[in-house]
Amino acid sequence: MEFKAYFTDHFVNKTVMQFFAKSLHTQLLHINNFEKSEKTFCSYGILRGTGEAIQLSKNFIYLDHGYFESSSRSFTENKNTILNGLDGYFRVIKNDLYFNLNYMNLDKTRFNNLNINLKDLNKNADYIILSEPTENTLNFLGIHNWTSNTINEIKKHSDREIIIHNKFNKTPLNELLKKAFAFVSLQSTAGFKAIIEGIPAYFTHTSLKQYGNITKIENPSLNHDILYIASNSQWRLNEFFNDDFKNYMRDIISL
Amino acid sequence: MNIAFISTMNQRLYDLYGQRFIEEFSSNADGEIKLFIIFEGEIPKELINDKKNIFCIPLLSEKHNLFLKFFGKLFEARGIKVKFFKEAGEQKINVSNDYKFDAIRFSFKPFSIHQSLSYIPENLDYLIWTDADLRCKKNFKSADIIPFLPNKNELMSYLGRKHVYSECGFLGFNLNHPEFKNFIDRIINIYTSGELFSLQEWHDSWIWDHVRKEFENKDILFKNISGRGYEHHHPFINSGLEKFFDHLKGPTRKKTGESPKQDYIN
Repeated sequence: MEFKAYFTDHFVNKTVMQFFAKSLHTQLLHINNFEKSEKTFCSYGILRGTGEAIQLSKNFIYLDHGYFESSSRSFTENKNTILNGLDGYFRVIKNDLYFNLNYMNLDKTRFNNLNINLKDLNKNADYIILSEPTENTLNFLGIHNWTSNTINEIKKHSDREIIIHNKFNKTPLNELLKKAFAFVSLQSTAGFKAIIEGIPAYFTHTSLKQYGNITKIENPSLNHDILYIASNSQWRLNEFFNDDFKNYMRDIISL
Repeated sequence: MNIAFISTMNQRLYDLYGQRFIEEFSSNADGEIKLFIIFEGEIPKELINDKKNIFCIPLLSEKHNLFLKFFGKLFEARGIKVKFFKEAGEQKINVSNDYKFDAIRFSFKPFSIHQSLSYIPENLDYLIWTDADLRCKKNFKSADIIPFLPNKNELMSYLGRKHVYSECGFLGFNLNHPEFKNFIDRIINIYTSGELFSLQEWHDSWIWDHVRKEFENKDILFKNISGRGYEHHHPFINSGLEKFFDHLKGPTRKKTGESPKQDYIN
């Protein structure tokens, strides 16, 4: 499978795509030069034209912040993001924005290298956290009623209190998780954090719901497989030069 | 041996000489030798996809931001000296600038090197700092550069000068040396703690020498590569490196684009 990588004018995209394309010796073009082709489209993020290109592409490789130890970011009250570096992990995904469907690498090595302590199932459980996707995500996927639809779906299977959370909430997620019974999201990486903290996570997006389906919300269990697969799907920029990354690319292309 | 170069620049320096350096590096360096540029500000579009062995990274250093937050607003830290004096009964003020005390201007190099360590390939053996006012004169490959790099038991190679501080336009780091990380961390700590303002001079060459001597006192070995240039003010182009490079030290050489003949020891 041949790649065609594209960059936008945003500095994160520029940097990530430069490392991706140059380490894989792949053609790198500005997004303004995008042409629909049989080659696999590759880029970072869904803004500045890349989202539209993804929708026009039969196959694509999508890069974005990683699931664990992503580059340090902070969010301002006026919804701006401040980035403190690009030295964290980036997820690299085929034909999806969030998770590799059917990539089943359960090797624990990369996860164990993160030194993450997995907690037992939370016994102090009370409410369900519903994590709202960003406006960009809702618009991109055309699921504007996701929140109300998902609340209705949860209510079919549980009568617990539902607390809505998004990245601009003043109450930190860590605080909310302390008494959470379950964490529900479309595709949020905070769901992985919830599992780590001992809170079962459920997803509605196609590539993720096999790891936590809302219909089973009142039968809590922690699915750690998703964490191992996620850690095998994320890479630092300096790892793009490694043979392991090239092998990973070969693996996901063959999915 | 896997070798990469690291340098830093902003748009102004890119326009002045950085672009030429990158062009010359790209066409003269063996394809396996990478150049990492820590760029302050918007990275020029042509650097993103044109040059296969050039990697541009935005300057995003939390530690450097911390240093600037603490000391960036102090005019003294920018090498500005203000002297009040009386002349013919009148109170007067003299404002002068001394690069030896411009801690801010010369802080970009150490922090860029520190930042780059999170981005360079894991299998690198050596990382070479060069100033961006470098000319690449002819094709070079790793084997050509190895003589100017530290040996296995040495932490860093540098261009020492007999009478003044070292010329730090070229520093070769042995990334496999067990004390390398401690060495860089110590350099950065001198900045972020403000300790550098207790030293005799505040520019980075002084700091590199200061920390090198600290480590030499702990029996850590370094390699002075100046050779016959050791007693000369411009050792870079009298060390053997002149076969491949020219270093345009100071405004005159930058203007003419080369070091004059009298810089070379016959």
